[in-house]
Amino acid sequence: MSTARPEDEVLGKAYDARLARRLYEYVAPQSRLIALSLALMLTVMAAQLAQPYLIKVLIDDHILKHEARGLTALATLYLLVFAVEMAARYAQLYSMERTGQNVIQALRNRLFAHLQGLDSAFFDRHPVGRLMTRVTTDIESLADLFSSGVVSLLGDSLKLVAIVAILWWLDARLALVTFTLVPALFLLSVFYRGRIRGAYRDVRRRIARINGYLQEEISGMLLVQLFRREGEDRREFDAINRGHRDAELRSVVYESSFSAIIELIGTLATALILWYGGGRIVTGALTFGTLVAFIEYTGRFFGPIRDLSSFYAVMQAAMASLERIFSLLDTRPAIQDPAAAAPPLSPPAAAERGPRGLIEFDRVHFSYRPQEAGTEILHGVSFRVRPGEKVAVVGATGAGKTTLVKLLIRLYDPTEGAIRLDGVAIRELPLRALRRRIGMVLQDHFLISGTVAGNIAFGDLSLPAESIEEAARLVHADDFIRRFPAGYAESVRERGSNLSVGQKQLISFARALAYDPEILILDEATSSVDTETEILIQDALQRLLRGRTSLVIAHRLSTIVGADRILVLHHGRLIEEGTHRELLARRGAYARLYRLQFAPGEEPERSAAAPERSEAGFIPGPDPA
Amino acid sequence: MSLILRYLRAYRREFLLGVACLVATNALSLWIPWLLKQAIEALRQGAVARTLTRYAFSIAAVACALAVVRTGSRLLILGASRRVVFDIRNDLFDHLLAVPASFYGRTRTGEIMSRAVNDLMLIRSLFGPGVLNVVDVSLRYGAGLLLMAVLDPVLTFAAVLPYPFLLLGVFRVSRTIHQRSNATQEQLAEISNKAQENLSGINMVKAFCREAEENAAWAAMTREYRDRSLALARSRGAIVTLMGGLGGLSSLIVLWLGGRHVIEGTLTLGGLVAFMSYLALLTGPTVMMGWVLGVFQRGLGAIRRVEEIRAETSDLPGDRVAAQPAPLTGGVEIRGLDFAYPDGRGPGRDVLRGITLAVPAGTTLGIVGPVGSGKSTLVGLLAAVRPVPGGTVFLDGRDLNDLPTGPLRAQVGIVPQETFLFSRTIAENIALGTPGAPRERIEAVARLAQITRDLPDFPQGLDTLVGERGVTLSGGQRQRVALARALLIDPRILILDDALSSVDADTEEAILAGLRDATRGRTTFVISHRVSAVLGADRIAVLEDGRIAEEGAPGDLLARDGPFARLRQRQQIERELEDL
Repeated sequence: MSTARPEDEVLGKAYDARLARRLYEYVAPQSRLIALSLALMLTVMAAQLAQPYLIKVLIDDHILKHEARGLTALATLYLLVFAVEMAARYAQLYSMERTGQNVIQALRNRLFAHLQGLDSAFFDRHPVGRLMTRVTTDIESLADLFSSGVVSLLGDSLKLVAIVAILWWLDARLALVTFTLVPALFLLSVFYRGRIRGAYRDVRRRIARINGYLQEEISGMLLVQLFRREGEDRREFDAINRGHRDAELRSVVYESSFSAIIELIGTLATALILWYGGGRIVTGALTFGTLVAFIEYTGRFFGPIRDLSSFYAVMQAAMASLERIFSLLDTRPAIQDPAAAAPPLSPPAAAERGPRGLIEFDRVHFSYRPQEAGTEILHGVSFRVRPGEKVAVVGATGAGKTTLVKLLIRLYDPTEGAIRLDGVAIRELPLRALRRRIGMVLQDHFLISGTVAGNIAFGDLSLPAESIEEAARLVHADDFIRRFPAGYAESVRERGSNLSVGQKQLISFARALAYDPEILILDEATSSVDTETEILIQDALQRLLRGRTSLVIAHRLSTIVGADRILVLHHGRLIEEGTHRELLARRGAYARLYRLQFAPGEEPERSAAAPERSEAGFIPGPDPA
Repeated sequence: MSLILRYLRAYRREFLLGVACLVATNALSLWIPWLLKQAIEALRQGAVARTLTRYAFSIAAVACALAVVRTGSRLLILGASRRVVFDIRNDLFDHLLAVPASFYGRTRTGEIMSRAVNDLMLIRSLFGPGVLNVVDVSLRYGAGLLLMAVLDPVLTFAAVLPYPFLLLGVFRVSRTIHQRSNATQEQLAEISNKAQENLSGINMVKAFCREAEENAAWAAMTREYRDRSLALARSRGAIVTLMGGLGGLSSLIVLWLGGRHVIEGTLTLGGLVAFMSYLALLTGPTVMMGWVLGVFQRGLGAIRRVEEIRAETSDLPGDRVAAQPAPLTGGVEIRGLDFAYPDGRGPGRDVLRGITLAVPAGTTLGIVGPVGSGKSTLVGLLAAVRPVPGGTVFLDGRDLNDLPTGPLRAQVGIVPQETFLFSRTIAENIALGTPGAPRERIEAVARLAQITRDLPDFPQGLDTLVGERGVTLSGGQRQRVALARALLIDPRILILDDALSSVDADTEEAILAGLRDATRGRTTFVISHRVSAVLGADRIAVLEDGRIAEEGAPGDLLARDGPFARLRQRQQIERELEDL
């Protein structure tokens, strides 16, 4: 139960031409539906307004003249008019709802697609919760604009004008007398709407508070009980609950008297018509039928006035939402495809097949918040990974390892320096072309709700089932997936909560393998799994890296030792670089660490075996240029 | 039904007065068409202006009185419904405070929230508009039909002929509306979840160039939402049409048949006008009645679900022990304890198997072991989180099941693995178990838990609000607040359940060293995934798969080259890697 943020509560003007024009872009495709809806509305109105007149004719021409002939015909006409009204009203309501739903669907899809294109820095600045409000609540308030807004505003206004005209035509003087009550009705409606809205807002705020409190108490109930806070919290809850009840009682006061007062004004109008109109009947200026028709028309007059008073609030809320939606749509991503797309990399000729993917970091500086001093986290990092080479990056948490990965796939751009792929600056490459060549396995195994197969075919849903299963088999995921009741169609709950850590890792491996990238980036998970799974993961890892240029943010010593080259990153600087042997010989930070692991007489089997295994899969890259 | 009456009884004065107002409301609202009838009849007989004025004033006066009693009836009955819901909500919360961990283990938070939010709304509708309309409509029907019958019995019969169908139709459609409205809300929730999932994993979406697929999946969901909304709109439209259609049908019958009656002279024109007004008075309520039937149906379901929670009782033997002071010295003994979490049908897999341990009062036991080995379960049982088999856990030689839960918990301070802070100030979070603790004591424990050194980070010091509306504390800061919280209740038994996992190893050691004075004299359990944190304990138990794999003094275990010694070695290396 999230409570509304202040930003979302601000209401401005009820009409903004600029926003309306922009909304028109989404409304225009629906113009035929809107035209239909308007036509239907006019039909409804005509039918509605014809009815009291038919009653007048019935009374004046038949009943008062004791003329039974034609009564059935008149009744049939009435029935017909009535049937038309009902059918048209149904169709009108539906076509308007459809218009609104089409518009908001288009806008919602556009907004979502726009979000997909925004850069990561944008998502760092904007909490997910607030962005979600844009695609849910804000869009919903636009739906109100259509279902109970624009068209009914138009309809209500037209209806009012028509009734005024008819009443005037029937009897101008009586009409004038009747209209004396209109200002009172309108002012009362506006007054009450304001009060009721304020009271409801208060109620909503308080119920949100109750729900927030409850949610928190339920989540923390064990603590409440262990710390024996029940009495205290009971008192607190009682106070919050009481505040809500009192707000509810206040809203009940307005709610209860509003309908009664509107009813009162309606009846007063009847009394007025009777008093004044009756007098005119006595003088013969008015017929009975007209009097009854007057009373009927007046009854139909009050509804629209009441509705009009609520329209302002709907418009106001919709405009505020539109403002927020369009300002989000106006946000331009900082990272875009290059203006003039670089010549697409021609598919490698058969002769030059073989590992590609030379990665170069050239004096790369980076800060997530470049405006703030002292936030730089990479201070001129330079290194290269040759095609087919397997490079491990080691370093403490916060050394900047994960940032290297984010820069490589252009989630962010370096503040200084350049990153090149096969000699071309990645800024010059179309984003899709760049990212399509790089596969990733991240520590946080991001699984989406859907099927296991869908998670493996994450980057390419058209992947055939055989390829999915082949990928799973290669990384040892096939066995456990087949043991699921639904196999590959087993559903994965949000964030993969129904899978074990090891299973999630293997599915991520399968996903990266199915993506079949030239370059593989692996952020090794630190989470512990049981020994059996660990062996499977180790082996799957070797298969995954085979034949690819790879950059591994390593946590397992076996992976580190098995790499062709090791980069030691410390506080955003590269402090050591070389092969395992070279680094050992250098007797620096890395060597110290390694010797600790292989303390005399303690050589663990698994780690000792690792270098050999990786050497078997070693593919020599070309000499550095 | 008896449940409804029970709540009605609590506010019988309001409800009865409200009903009395409704009686008056109906009498007055039916009087107005009658006055209109008389006025028109008087006009027909060539009444003078003064008579007309009298009728007009009478109608106005009755209308004013009507406005007053109608407001009164709504105020009383709607007001009482709010009070009923207030009582039920308080009552429900009391129950939630009393039901044990096992209830929360098998009931999802969302489900409980749905009881407290959605079901209470349904109950509110039942006692508010529900009761109001049932009484109102019954009264209006009774009196309205009577008056109409007086005017013209044949016409009355013919006019209300369509009403049963209207009633049934509205009842049916309103049920469909309810279902479809839920379906629409569910789809909106799906859309929300999808947005959440996509936006929080946006980097992966980009890395795998999955934007197009995500857009397609999203578009499919929004299309489904549109379709469900339109289905809902069709049902709503159906109600409007049904209502208008049948209402119109009976108007037509009245016009056609009633017109004849007037021509034939069996009915006056005024009578016909009054008849039409009465009929109009019945159309609205009939539609209302169809809706109210649904409200009652759903409201009763909601009451039943809320009652289910109210029927929950504690499964802790200690909750049935008459309260008696149980001052502990803190000696803990566990003999052959097996424990399993129930999994829906019966006891599940054993999480603890044959645990036997003795922790003399005032000593410290360190517990290490892999994830899922049962460490947290074991210490939780000491605070009576879950019921234990009799004769397995003893405090000061007394069976845990014979100790009253409340006073027992007052002497056990636990710092759980997953820190939970409430959206209150830091000081209030620390004083969770001791509201009203003097400020100096809160500050003292904050110092002990080394929160004080972070105070410059917080704008209002210890009075800084935690959570969405205040500051976000780091994992380590949260854990230290939780530690201070446990220290403040001055427990005989202190349990640290991997309580400092989010602070770095050096800080953890510093805090534990600082606690040495504070823990002196208390029986202390220290669970940690770091060996270094438990080296200072008197004894250490290594848990593996629910069993004690190894137990002894730290020095002995290190010398033995068993699981503990191996764990120690691995961690030393890991730490070097971290410090690199």
